Amino acid sequence: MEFNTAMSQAWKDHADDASGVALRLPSLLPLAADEAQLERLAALIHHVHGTHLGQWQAGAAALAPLRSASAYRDDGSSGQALRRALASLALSAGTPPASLSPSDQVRVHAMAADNLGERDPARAAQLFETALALAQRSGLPDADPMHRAIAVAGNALACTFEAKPNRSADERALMLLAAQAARHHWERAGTWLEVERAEYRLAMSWLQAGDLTQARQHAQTCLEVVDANNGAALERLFGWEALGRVERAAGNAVGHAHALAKARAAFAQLSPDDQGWCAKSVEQLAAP
Amino acid sequence: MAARAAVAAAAGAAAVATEGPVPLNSAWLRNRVAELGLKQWWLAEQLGVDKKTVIRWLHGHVRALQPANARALAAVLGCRVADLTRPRDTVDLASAQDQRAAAALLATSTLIDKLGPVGEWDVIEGLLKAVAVPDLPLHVLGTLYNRLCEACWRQDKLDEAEAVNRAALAVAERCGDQALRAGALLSQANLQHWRGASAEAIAGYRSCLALRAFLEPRTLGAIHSNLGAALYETGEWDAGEAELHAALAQFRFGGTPTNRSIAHANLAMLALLRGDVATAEFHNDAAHTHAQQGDYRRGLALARRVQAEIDAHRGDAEQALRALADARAAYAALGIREAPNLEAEARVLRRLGRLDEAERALVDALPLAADFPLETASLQRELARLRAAMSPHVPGRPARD
Repeated sequence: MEFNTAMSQAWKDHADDASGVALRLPSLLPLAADEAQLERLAALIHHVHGTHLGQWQAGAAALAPLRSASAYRDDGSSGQALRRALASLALSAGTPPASLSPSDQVRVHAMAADNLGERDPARAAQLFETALALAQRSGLPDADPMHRAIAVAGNALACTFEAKPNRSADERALMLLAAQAARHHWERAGTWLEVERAEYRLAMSWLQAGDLTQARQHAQTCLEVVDANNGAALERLFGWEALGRVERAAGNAVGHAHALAKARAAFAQLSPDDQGWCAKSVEQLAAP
Repeated sequence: MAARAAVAAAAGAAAVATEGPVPLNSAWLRNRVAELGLKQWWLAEQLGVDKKTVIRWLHGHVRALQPANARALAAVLGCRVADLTRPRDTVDLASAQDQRAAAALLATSTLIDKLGPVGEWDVIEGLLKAVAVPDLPLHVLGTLYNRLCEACWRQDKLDEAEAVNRAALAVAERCGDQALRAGALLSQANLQHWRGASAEAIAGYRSCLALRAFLEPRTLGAIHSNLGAALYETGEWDAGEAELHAALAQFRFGGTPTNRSIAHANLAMLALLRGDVATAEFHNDAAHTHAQQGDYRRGLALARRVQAEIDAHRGDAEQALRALADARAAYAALGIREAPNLEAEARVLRRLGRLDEAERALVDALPLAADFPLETASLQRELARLRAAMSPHVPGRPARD
């Protein structure tokens, strides 16, 4: 099997069957032909063992063979990616990272925070706060990859806590902080599409937090960004979904009906593939 | 079912036919729209009207709504039509007297001389228009007064700032616009703080925070920051610290490096009051970093001044004097000569045992603080400490707080 195909399949399967994907990971290593592919593999191993399985030592063991790959360069980008993944797993287990660049310090703290979101929210919050503080004081330029790392981790953490029933006050605070951080850092390092999706995330997080004013503002901004960039129907659909959910929660039947009609219009413009996975969102929006 | 709907529709149509236009309370509408976080386009879309129509409603250019529009608006806003209805004594537009007052302000003051150099040309233009344009929405005039007030206090013209602030508050009260009121209360609290009316300032900042729905996040952060400073300067250290941390949380994604530098600097100074040198250093480093990021030169000067105090606390005379010299030079380059800086200088010199120099700094500072009671009180306290340290009756007395 070709590397890209195998990776796509693994990413597709990992949420439902993280353990099964973890068992398949060693078979992907011989398929990696260059440093970029090794970096992608390191990211997948870290994500499956870290975020999904919480297996810090098994993750480190799964990463170790990357060093023996012919494409691996210890002083290259693959070496850096491997060291970050190992440092993140070690930090998740409680060992602080040593001798990393300021950028990598931020990235490792953000990655570890994401790993711990479901398992240890208090430590996740502490690590994410540290990542933000280090980032703010670093003064690193927008092109530095640490911005992206915070944005990705922030988005993931926000999703984790949005889905969690009976959030504590601290978990609510972390959910909102994470969504705000994602928005802030995508603004610096991402495209309009990532900013727009971060606005969607903020709308959902505030909705879950019960602040409909904030949720409404971000849902509206999401749609404004889509509009300003002539975004695809898929983006419009989710913008209207967010706004419709907010108005339904607010008891605004007029606004909910209007948003639902707009979401349906956007849905009609989607490809059959996209309609397949988006239909549930529209159905749920239509529910009373 | 269909018959019941038809009957209801007919009843609704009859109600519309018998109702007259609804006098629109535009200030209430603005307040409600702000509370709900509604944007004009989304309100317009839900009502099936043009966005410009919504803007005209919000700005008080439409005196009355058709009953059907009023009902639709009430449904979207989750309120009663009665809430949207303007009470008889509510004023939406500036009166001729209001506009004459604005004209008098322009004619009798050296407004243009004052605002030009600080780049407030839009305020000048706005006020000139306010005089000339008929049917000026009252809240627009109030907003201009708020901006003019800020332009005055930023130049230390406190008397004029207070006069304009009173005008802004009066306008806010008359038209019931909460965003306007929040802005006027903030300026009032700032002015009270500088005048030494600390209790009133603290109460004012808290009133502003109660109007948070009508404030921008950065303004909210500034209120927490100013409230924190007012609290710790008057001895409420824990409450002050909590407000300064609330400010930092607000500024994390919405503030500027300057905002963050100021909040960290205040936390550093508070930590020094507590004698917690490590925390002071942590916050001072952060204040310095943010000042550098924002090219905030006053903040850079302050960071060196605070560093001198930190070094003096540690007994490192050489480093403290170097930092003090840096701070002096930085303030001089900015043309800033203020009592709190000289007081800090005196504290450093006292700690280093250079008591005569410390006394000279305090004596120089007193005239600069003449208009600021809190600063004067603080200088007098430091002078008392210094004199105690200088007392010949207590030989070898350590120059400590």
